[in-house]
Parts: sequence; structure tokens; C-alpha cells
Amino acid sequence: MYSDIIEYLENLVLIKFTEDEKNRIQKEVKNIIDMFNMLNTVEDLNNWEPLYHVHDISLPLREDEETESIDEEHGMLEENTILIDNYVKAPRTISE
Amino acid sequence: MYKLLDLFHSDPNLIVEYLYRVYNRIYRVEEKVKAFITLRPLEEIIAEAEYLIKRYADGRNHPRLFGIAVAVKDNISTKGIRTTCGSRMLENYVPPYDATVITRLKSEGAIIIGKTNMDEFAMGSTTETSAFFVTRNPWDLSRSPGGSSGGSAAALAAGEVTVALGSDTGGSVRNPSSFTATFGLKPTYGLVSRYGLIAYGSSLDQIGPMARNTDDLAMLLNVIAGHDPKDSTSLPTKVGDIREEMYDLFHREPRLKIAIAKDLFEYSDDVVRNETYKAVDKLCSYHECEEIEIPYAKQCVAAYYIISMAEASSNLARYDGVRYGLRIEVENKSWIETYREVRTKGFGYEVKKRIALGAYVLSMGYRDMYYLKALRFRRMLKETFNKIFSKYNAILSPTTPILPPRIGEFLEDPIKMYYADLNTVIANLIGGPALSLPVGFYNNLPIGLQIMTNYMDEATAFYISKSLEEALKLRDFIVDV
Amino acid sequence: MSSLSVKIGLEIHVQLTSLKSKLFCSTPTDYRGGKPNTYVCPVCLGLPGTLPTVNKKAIGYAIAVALALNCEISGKLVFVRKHYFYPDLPKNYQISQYDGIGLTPIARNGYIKIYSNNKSKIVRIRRINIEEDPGKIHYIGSIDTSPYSLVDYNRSGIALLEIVTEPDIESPKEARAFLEKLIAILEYLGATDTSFEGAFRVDANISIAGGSRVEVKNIGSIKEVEKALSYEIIRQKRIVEQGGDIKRETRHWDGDRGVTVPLRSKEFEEDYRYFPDPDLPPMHITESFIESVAKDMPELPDARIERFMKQYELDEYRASILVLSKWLADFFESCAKMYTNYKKLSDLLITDFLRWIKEYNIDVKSLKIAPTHVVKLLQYLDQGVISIKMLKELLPMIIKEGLDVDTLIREGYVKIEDEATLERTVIEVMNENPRAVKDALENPRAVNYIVGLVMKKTKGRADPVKTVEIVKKFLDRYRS
Repeated sequence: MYSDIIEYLENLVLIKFTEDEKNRIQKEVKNIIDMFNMLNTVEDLNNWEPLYHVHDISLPLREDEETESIDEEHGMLEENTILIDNYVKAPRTISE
Repeated sequence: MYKLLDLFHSDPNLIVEYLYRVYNRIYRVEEKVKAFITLRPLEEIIAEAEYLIKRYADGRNHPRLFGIAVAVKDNISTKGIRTTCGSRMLENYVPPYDATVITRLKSEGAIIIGKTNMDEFAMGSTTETSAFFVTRNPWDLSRSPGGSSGGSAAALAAGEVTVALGSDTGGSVRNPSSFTATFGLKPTYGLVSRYGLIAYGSSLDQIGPMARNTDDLAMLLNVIAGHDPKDSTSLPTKVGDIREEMYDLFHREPRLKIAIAKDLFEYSDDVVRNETYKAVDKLCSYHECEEIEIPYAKQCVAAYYIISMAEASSNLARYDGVRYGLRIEVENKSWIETYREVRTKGFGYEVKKRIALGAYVLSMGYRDMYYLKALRFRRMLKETFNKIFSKYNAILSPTTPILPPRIGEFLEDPIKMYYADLNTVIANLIGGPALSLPVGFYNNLPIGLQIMTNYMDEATAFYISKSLEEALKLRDFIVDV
Repeated sequence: MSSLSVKIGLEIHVQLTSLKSKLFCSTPTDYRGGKPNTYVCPVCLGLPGTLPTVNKKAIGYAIAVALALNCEISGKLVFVRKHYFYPDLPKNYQISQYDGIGLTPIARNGYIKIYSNNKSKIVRIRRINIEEDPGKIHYIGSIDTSPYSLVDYNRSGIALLEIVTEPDIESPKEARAFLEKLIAILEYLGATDTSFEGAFRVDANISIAGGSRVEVKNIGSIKEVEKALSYEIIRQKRIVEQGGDIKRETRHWDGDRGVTVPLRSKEFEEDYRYFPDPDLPPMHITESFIESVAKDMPELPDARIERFMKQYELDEYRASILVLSKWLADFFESCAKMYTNYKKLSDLLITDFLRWIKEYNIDVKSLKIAPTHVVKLLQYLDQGVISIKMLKELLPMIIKEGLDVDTLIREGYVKIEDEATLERTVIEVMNENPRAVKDALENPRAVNYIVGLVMKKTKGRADPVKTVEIVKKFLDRYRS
């Protein structure tokens, strides 16, 4: 059962587990899901609204001003990626 | 640290001498401890120090961390200095910007000498999931210094730096502090800016100060805390001088009402319980103490892991090798293929596992069952603790139920490792401050006590820490490695 | 063709081009024409550790559009993360809103009134979202053969409004009318300039006779929308008439070839794993905030059409055409201050004036022709100083060059009907062209040649009918 789930998740997040890792994770996943399921032992959880942000602050809004200058020195990307004519080189977008 | 600062104030040139000593120490112990992933070259540091000294030559107003050597956990962005998160994925990533806390440190004259080792992407409690090497606990080199901020804690314990920064999502500052006899704080969520902290669990993460005594901890917190417009979750309220508030309380000595988390002591190893109870007894000889039960303590771990894994799977989606990070040949391959290759190669097992499970709890059909349920639990937990803190000023527990584990001990049983986080995840779930300080030893292995206080009440936690520190005199430890 | 019922829903993405900074960071937005990857910062590149901050004015525009589209505005604005992997999406998730799991878009349940086929109709708006634009992908050659992609993140993070309609539209013509009205509303609000490249994108969902929905993507302009929809409807009708079934799919509009082509089907159905972005607390949209936005809103198209109908006594058709292009309505009203035959004025503007503007591809933001020009032309027409023919000739010249009306007329752009002047000119021409005269004496049809020379000499001002008479008169004199 868990191997189907693992494969589904692998495709969802674009990660592959090796054979060894798959064996390891099969064992661990059952325990981890059991741990997750412990939440079911808490009474009346559905009476509570989900808490998305731990403190009740309101979204701060930023004035519409250009305070960043444009990156003419290419400092943002140059060190870390391959630039061709200042475009970022990326893989093809056709799914084979 | 205040002694150093006084020294530097009277003669700034002593900073250079101090930095030489720092590096000598590092060269001597690093081979055994291995706390640093990146250590800046000494020439660079000296040049920076000399520039700093010249800048403040008029001797009038010295900045608050003038000349102090700081180690920074390697998930905090430092401009021009490689920032790896302990992962192959970012092995050669050099950020083009500084995290807000780094900007603040630099503007107060601190000297960032290097980046410390950590569990990969902060996922772990022992610093063993780092893709590069394992950091050792200076107190016992066969043991872990804790995690995920193990490198910073070890650097402090081995006397390699004066103060350090770590990050705490489920205990990653407090756990290593406890294992290394150092002091560490997870601030109120939103007190310290997360801008520049490479995200793991966004609603849980905080950058935390780490030091060898309460006073240094407070000084460091003062510099990094405060509203940041670049972080929309940063608290808008003005932050006072926490160190001053601490001393004010320390001198007034108000009698507090303290809750003792009975079950958390009960779940701990005997030796941990004994040492931490001793510290509790010292406090309770003056303050009013009462035992309480922490409801649903075990479920806190479940909720924590569901939420942090979900957020992690989202935060780590961006790593695909295109704009930065691990690079592979991209020609004539689809993006799905290359992304899969990069992410499989770049991430270690624990990270992959958490990303997969995080996607699981967010996926259609499971979101209600896991993610939303965990968030409902979180609200209930926060309400519960609001009630507790309306009655009590602080809650005490051992920082972690165990002694520093041996290297390799947890790799067999990760669930055991997860449950060891029980004491610390609570503060992350409810967003309140929590401080760990050393209170005893067993066979020369450090044991720490955790102080949890109400939202924005760092001052009380520091007050208790300072009082206990004065009573036990367990501070400023530098291990002879 | 049979009368199978057609249902069309539109999904429009429009950039808020009037913003100075991006939606989640303060990077400047005037990236068009700039070098790739220069209008970027750590936030819109999604560098590790960066966090979004929300542009206040963007929210203001979103609320203004929601009000103009008669929507219900959500009390709480929650930003969510929509996850999918693609090279133009720096974080591999897009920050947007979601309608579901207890969350709402910024606005929903609105409508736009359109005027098509001589009647009014309501098209309902399902929802409005505010979200960030991804970057732009370029290819070496065609998308199929390019060995890799080239990505420009200048556009990444630009504020977008996503406006989704219910499938209330029933023909390509109605779709066009809807989009024209929507664009007018957006321009009146000053939210966006749809003439900017890439600022306005449309995806359409079409189903016929209650069958499956087909999504058509990549439609770049209103004209293309009509073409794409017409094609797709015919395509689907053909299949149904031959007994086939329409399967639910996504197709891509190929504007060059004028067809829709199937996009490769994805292996897995998209699970976007929506959840509220932990980096952005919710915004409580208060009554007072909405009121402050409403207070600053300008007169919107529907209101202006009504006012034109009342104030200038125009019919709905004329009023609509003027109002739907804001610049034209503004121009009209400036003229109307100086000239009160509104019907004549509107007719001229809607027909010849608009036609020449389009023909010369004039940038309506920098018109050389001014209201005073048009008013003078009309006044001179009324006074008989120029003929309607003259006006129609002068108009394009002024539109193109912005020449002064009085100068043109002084230089002789008045119709020459005065016999004495005409006779003098004819005599001049005949003296200058003896051979032509000789030809004309022999061949009556060659008269036109001489008339042509006269027209040329008078720069077209000579009254042609009178000129022919005079030329014939003189030729007769020569004969005798």
C-alpha cells in the first residue's frame, strides 16, 4: 500500500528515492503516519477553526514606490546561474 | 561579553589581538569539533576589524557588539559568503544579499567569522543529517551536540566564538544549547525578522541568539530583535531594551507564579529529571510553584511534524538548480527530468522524506485529515496555553528528556528522535518564547532546563535564567577539547 | 449550420500596469524594452530566505475593479500558495487566492452589462483574484526544437488580476463586446493600459450543446479572441454533427495558422496543494477601506454612457462607441465644450476620425490633432467655407501632421468655385500645355487630362464640375 503512495508522492514533488531509501522509508512511513493519526485521539477537534497564523496580526501593506533599483550589475544571478545574453539557461518545457 | 566590550571601548586595537586568539583557538579545536562549514580567511577578518576600529576612532559612541566574533548558522543568508543549509543542493550558493539580522549585527560592529554546520535544511535534532560532515559535542566527542543548530552550539562550547546565531523551528536552538551547556533562546514568533532565514517551517521558524551566559544572550537579542518591514510576519509592536527589563526584574526580584510541567519531567530519563528538579527546587524556594499537566503533550509532536513537513515541502519546492544551487546539464532534457535529477541528487534522505510526507498531508483527500486537523489542534493548544499563562508567569520543563545521544544512535529510530522534541515543539506551536540554560551534568554530559513564558514576555524568561544562573553559577563554560 | 447552443466562459489575466512596483516587492515595473533579468530582486527571483510584502495600491485597484464589476468583496483577503513546477515560476509556487477549503477570492458574484446585437445582456463574473505573474520563457527557434529554454524574470512578480466569468457568453461577437467593455472599465479606473505588450491575456472555455468544456489558451488580443472562438465552435460543431463526442481538453490557439491545437495531455491531474501562505497574514478588508476606494473612483463607462445619452442627446449605440474608448470620449467632450451639434460631432468622430486614427496607427496618447482642429473644421463646414469633401480630405492630413486648419485654408484649401479664378487657371494650364490642348481638340476624352492638370495646379481645390465646363468652353472657343 505504501509503495503506491510513495511513488505518487515522488511524482508530486519531483524526487526519487533509491532502492535502499525506499526500503528504509517503507518502514518509517507506517510509524510516522501512526504518529500523525494520534491527532484523532483529541476530542472535538472539529469545533476549532484552523490556526494559519500563530499571532493575530493584520497584513502590513507597502506603499507603491520603487525602492529597489534595477539590477544592472547582474549581482542577483550572475554568481549562481548560467546566463546566456543575460537570460537564465533552463531546461526545455516540452514534457517528453 | 560585557568585559570584552569594556576592553574594546578603552582600547579598540585590542580587537585585533582578540581575533587572533579566536582563530588560534579555532585552528586548535576545529579538527575535533568540526563546527564550521565556512570559515572566513583571517586576513579578511583583520582587515574588517581595522576598518571598524578606524571608523570609530573618535571613541565616542561604540556600537553595541563592537569587534565581537559571531558564528552564524549556515541557513542565514550572508552576502558574499557561501550559505549551504548543510546541503549539497546549496553547496556553492553565494547569496547576493544579507539577512536582516546580519545587517543589524554588522551595523553594531559585530564580526561574522564563519557559517556553522547544521542538519540539512534544519531538519533534524543531531546535526547528523548535514551533507558534509558531523559536528561533535565538545563535552564528549563521540556524542552529538544536538541539532539542528549543532555547529553554533559546539562553536560556543569549544570557545571558538563569543556568541552565535541559530534557528529554531521545533527546538533547534534550545536542544543543542541543552546538550552543550550553553544558553539559547527561541524568541516570540515575529520578534526577530525571518528575512534572509532560509525557510523550513515558516509559521514556526525563528532565528535565536546563542551564548555562554544570560547577559550575552540578552545583549545579542537586543541587537537582532525588532520590527522588519521586509518580513510581513514581523510583530509591529515596538520592542524595548530586553536586557534592561531583565535587570530591572532581577533587581526588583518579584515573586513569580511558576508552573512545573509534571509530565514532561516524568517522561524524561532519570538523570535528566534529577538534575532539572534540583534547579526547580532552587527557584521554588523563592517563587510560588505549582505542578500542572500539559494536555495532549504527545499529540503536539504529531501536529508539529505535520505542519513543519507541509511547510517544508512547499518552501523547498523552489530548489530546481535553474537560478542557483546544484547544477546539472540541462540541454535536450525536459524540465521534469532535470528537476527530478537535481532534487534527487541535491537532497539527503531525511529532507526527501519530509518533503514527500509534507506533500502527502497537503494533497487532495488528505489535507482535511492531516494538515487542517493539525491546525485546529494548534488553535486549541494556543488557547490552552493562553489560559495557563493567565495564571502563571512561566512554565518549566527539562529542555529535552535525554542526555546528548551518541553519534549514530538516532539514525536507526527516527520516531524516537521525533518524540524527543516533545518539550520544545510546544513553544513553536504556540508562538511564545522559550529559553534553555544549563542546570547540571551527568558524567560530564550537560543537562538543560527550559523556561517558557507568555507571548512577548522575554524579560521574565531572562529574569528566571539570570536568577538561576546566579544561584548555580553554571555559565561561561569552555570545554578543553 | 445548426443552432447548437454555445456556452463560453472567459478567464482574463490583466496586469496592473499603472503600479510603480511589483506586487510582492519594490522592484520597478517598467521592464518592457529592458535587458533581461535586470528588473529583478531577491524576492521576485525567489532566492532562498526571501519574503513577500504586499503592494497597497495593488489591493486598492483590485477592490476598485471589484466594485466596478458589481462584485461581493470578501471580508478577509487570504493569499495562498499554488504549487506546480515550471521554469518561469521562481518559487515553483504562485501566490494567489483560492475559492474553497474555507477560503475566498478577493471578490466574487459580480456582473458586466454588455451591448451586443442591439440589445443589452448581463455577463456574470464568477471571481476576481489578485496574484503574481511568472517570468517569460523564450526559445531558440521553436518550442519543439529548442535544446533548452531562456528565462527572463523581469515579469516575475508583476501584479495580475485574474477575472473569471460564468459561461454566460453565447457567441464570439458577445465575447468581443464583453472584452471591450471590460477593457474600458479597466482603463477608466486607470488600473491598466491594455496597449502594453502582454498586459492582457485571455483563455476561453467553450462547450456546445451541453457537451464537455474545451479550454483554449494563448489568445493575445480581442481580435484573436473572436477568431479563436469562431474556429473552435466550428471545429466542435463539425465533430458533433458527425456523431462524435467532444472530450474535455486544453488546446492552444495558433494565431499564425488560425487553428486550435491540442496541448500534450498531462500524466497526472494537477494537485496544486493549496494552503494559505504562512508568510502573509490575512488582510481584513474593512468597510472604511472599501469606502475610501469607492470615493476615489472616477465616472465609469456605464454611468458615462447614460450621461452622454442625457447630456448630449445621443442614442445608446453612438454613446457606447464613444465611451468605450476613453480617449475618444474625452476628446468628444472637449469638442463638445466648443461645438453643440453633438450628433454631427459624434458622427464625424465615430466614422472618418476613428477610421483614419486606426489606418495611420496613431498613438492616441500623443495625438497631433486637437479638439480645436475638429471644431474649426465643423464650424467652417457649417459656414460653407469648406465642403464636406474638403473636410474629409483635410481631416487625415491634420490627424497625420497636426497642421493648423486656418493655415491650410489660407494656403488655399478653400474650394475654388469663383469663375474668374478658375478661368485664369485654365488659361494658364492651357498655355503651359499646348500639346494637351491639341489632343483635347481632337479627342474629347482628353479633356479630363486638362482638368486633371488644373486640379493639380490648384492642389485639388478647383471645383471639378465647373472646371470641366470652363475647359470645354475654352476648347470650343479655340475651335471656332
